[in-house]
Amino acid sequence: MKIDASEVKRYLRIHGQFDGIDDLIQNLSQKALSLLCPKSIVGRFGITHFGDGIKLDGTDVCFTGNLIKKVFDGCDEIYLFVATLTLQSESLIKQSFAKSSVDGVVCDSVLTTMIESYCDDIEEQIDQKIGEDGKTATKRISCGYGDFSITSQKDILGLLGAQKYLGIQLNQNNMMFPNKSVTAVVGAKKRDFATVDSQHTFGVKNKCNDCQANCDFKRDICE
Amino acid sequence: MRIKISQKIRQGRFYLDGGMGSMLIAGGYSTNNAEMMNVTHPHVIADIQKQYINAGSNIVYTNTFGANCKKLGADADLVSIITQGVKISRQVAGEDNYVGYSCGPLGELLQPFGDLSFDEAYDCFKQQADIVKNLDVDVVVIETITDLKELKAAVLAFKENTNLPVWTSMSFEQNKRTYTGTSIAGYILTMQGLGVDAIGINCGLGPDLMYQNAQEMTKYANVPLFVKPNAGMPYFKDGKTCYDVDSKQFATQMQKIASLGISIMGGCCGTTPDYIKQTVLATKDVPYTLFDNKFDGVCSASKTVEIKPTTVIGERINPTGKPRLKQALIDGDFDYIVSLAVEQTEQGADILDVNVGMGGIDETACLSKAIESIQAVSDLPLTIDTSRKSALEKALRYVVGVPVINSVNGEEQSMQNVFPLAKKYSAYVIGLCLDQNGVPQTVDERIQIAKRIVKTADEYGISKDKLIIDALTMAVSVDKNNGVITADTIKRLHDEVGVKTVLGLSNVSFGLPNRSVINGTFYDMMAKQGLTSAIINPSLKKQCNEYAKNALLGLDDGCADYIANVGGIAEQQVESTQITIYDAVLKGLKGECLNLFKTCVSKDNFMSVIDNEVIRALNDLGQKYEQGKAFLPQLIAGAESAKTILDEIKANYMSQSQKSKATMLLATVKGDVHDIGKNIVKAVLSNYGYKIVDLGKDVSFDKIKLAIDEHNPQIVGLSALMTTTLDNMADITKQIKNYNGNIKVVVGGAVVSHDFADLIGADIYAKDAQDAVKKLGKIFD
Repeated sequence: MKIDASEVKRYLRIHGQFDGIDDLIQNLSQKALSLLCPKSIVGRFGITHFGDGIKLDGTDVCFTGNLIKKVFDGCDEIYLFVATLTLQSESLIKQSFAKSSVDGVVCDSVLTTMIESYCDDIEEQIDQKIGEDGKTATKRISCGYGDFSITSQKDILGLLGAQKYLGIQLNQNNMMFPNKSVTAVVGAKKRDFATVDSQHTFGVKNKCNDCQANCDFKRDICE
Repeated sequence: MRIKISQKIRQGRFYLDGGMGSMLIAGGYSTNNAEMMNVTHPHVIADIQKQYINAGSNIVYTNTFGANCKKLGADADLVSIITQGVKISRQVAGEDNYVGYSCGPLGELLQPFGDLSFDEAYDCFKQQADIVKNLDVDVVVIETITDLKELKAAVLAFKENTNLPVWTSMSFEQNKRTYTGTSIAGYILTMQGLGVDAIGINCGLGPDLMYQNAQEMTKYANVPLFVKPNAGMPYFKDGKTCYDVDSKQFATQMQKIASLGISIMGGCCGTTPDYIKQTVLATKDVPYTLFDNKFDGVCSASKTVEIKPTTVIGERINPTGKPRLKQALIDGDFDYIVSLAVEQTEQGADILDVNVGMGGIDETACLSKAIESIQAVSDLPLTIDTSRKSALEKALRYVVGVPVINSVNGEEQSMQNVFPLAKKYSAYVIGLCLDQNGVPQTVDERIQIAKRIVKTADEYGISKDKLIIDALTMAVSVDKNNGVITADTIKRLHDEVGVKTVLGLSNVSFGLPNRSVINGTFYDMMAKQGLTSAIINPSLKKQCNEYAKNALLGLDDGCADYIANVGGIAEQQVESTQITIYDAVLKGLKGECLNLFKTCVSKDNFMSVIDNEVIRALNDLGQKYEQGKAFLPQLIAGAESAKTILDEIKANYMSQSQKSKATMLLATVKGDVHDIGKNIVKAVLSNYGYKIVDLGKDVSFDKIKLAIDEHNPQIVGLSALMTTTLDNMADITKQIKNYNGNIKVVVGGAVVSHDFADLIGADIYAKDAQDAVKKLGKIFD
């Protein structure tokens, strides 16, 4: 896990010289890496395909929608994971804002970069495991991407015991607390189907470079 | 026939039960609504508990882990569920074994991170306590808690409303912290302070990983300890939760924990009667220890501080002589108070003194709020500084950890007010060497009062270790002997009375120039006299200035030599610089801004400085931001720099009657927990003459309505980051407009567009903070 300063700047929408920002990002990154102990839970589930999406075997949980159908086509199992920078990340942001709003805003971006990097590490481990099983991993997708409903967040947290083991709370609008928490799903595709998605056209393997949206944080706009 | 459980656990090994949920799942039942099975399937629960007794458990926990109004809902029949649960367990336990009432967490985060207040949490636990107090239970076990504040609410609820012994158990991770950050030391010291009968850890880890945490407990405990690990770490296979340690491996690892001297053992998730049986076999002959550790210090949830030379107690959260802090307290601006806490923490304070006593505010409510706000960001233990009993009592309930009370004095009434509370909450107490006759002028009299405080504390069951005596510091400018009297008192308190000592040290320099020189010198002198702790500005450094020393030793009449030789040196050297206030704001140079302002401002010109320098710089910076020539952090840095000047003006130049341009309520809408954008708007707009009332995040219309009634705003600003909360933004906007059509509603946030703002009837769409400045300026400038 690392905190890439250029990613932090992308979230801050800084694309030029700004005195002092590099030192501030470095200081807050060091603080975050020394203070925070990110936590995660990974669960592996067999899946059954049906008309609207997939059903997780041994549970009554279904994920539906076109994105789900497309990304997990050819998969016979999926990995769910939840990752969090824990409640200490909320304290760190509060502390930083108490010091100054600049520290607060930069800290927020540092922690966003950190949780993304942590998720990348988890995804890599899952990919490796899937590879060892002779399968191919899809890229990860999260609730709220495309038509993958944000309400599935509740199911993922419930299946993984995220409240009990990680202290993650979900509000009535399916937002997680601590804010720097992520849920995601990675599919394990049988080799026969691997070519279908070899270019990683969905999900976050190539992060925003693959994304269709033109948001303010888009890499090619920022760079 | 069984003896009292508190005796029993000190007489030998004592075995708890194992998992209930895993047994229910194995039997084909769901763990959803497991507590209802006390009523619907009592024989199933009884059968599982019987298996544990047969396996060697000395106690069964009632199937009531989640029997609270938050988990089961306000309409749940808790009386039937709990009564029936106890009945089942008592029948299984019989006369020889014990019944523990199991009380789990409420499942909601407490403030300031969540919505649940301490008092609400207390009421939820009290509801259970009121039912349990009449039932045949041997002990209350509050278990699997991760937030020390929630645990404190539960312990107080059961101790204040039942006569039952209370055991507590928290869930720690491998890093010896709960996920809310509570440390094992903070947990043990706080619970021992509240008088719990046994302390344990459960869940989260298997016995191998729990070993280190168990070992850590043994360093601090002076009550029996227990462990209840899981059957290893959970993993998910085919939709089921599985555990990776079998009963024999479990027992082997439990034997290792038993060898630490821990006498009470059981199992948590994934364990079954076989795990208990194997554990009994493996550990029954391992010797155990009656722990009797003594730790002389205070703590927060996450940090312990020994009271030893020279502990620094940060003095800056005290409104006396601080107009900016006074204004913040009047405005309810707890962010400012928190910033003082963060600053002192970074400067090296060990403990923070919190004093909000001033006229015109509700000190009881304000002190508790200040403590909650500070503890959300600072891990330092606190000193609760108040002379108001009601404020002290409430603050002692809310504070997490073992605090210091500041203060008691030798007057009978003061000791009657403070000592019972100090005893109940196991707080340290600062005792002032004064009484109803005022501050004694002689060392002898001060020592007599100190001895009276020590003796009376002892009568209340408070040991001398818990007292920190303040020898009192009076100004040497008033009487040249004051420094010597204090020094001699400190020495005698140390040598003769044998207590810890403290001084509110900066009083000594009152009325003199260059106070930090006197204070630093006095600090150095007192440390050499044996001073234990000092209430000071943490940035104060010890020094030895000969003129200051002579003044403090009473060798300099009227401090004349000191004033002549040291007083003329400017307190803070402002570096000469060519930059203007305009430049400093533009470049976001906070420190320079204030220094430059102080050198050039007067009562006559401060408005022109604001208009010609500060606002012009902010406007130019805003323009650069819009043109993409400056970035968000620069915009904020400029705003923050300007704010240092505006705060200075607010505190020292403006009268209360001078009004702001308009009052604006700011809120992130209900359901949304993202508030970065809202905070930026606040930072920027507050420099343009708007009075900002920040309602925080996840704000409902009801809360906004109350704030409208209280503050009579002209503007309400609403923010939303997630598409899922746009409906809430629409509803709240509509309700504000219905409630008061004159209020301008400004909306913004990542997912909000101009079209959406129009659609929901908002008056203004602001794409960012700078846009809000421009658009509001057209109406209110």
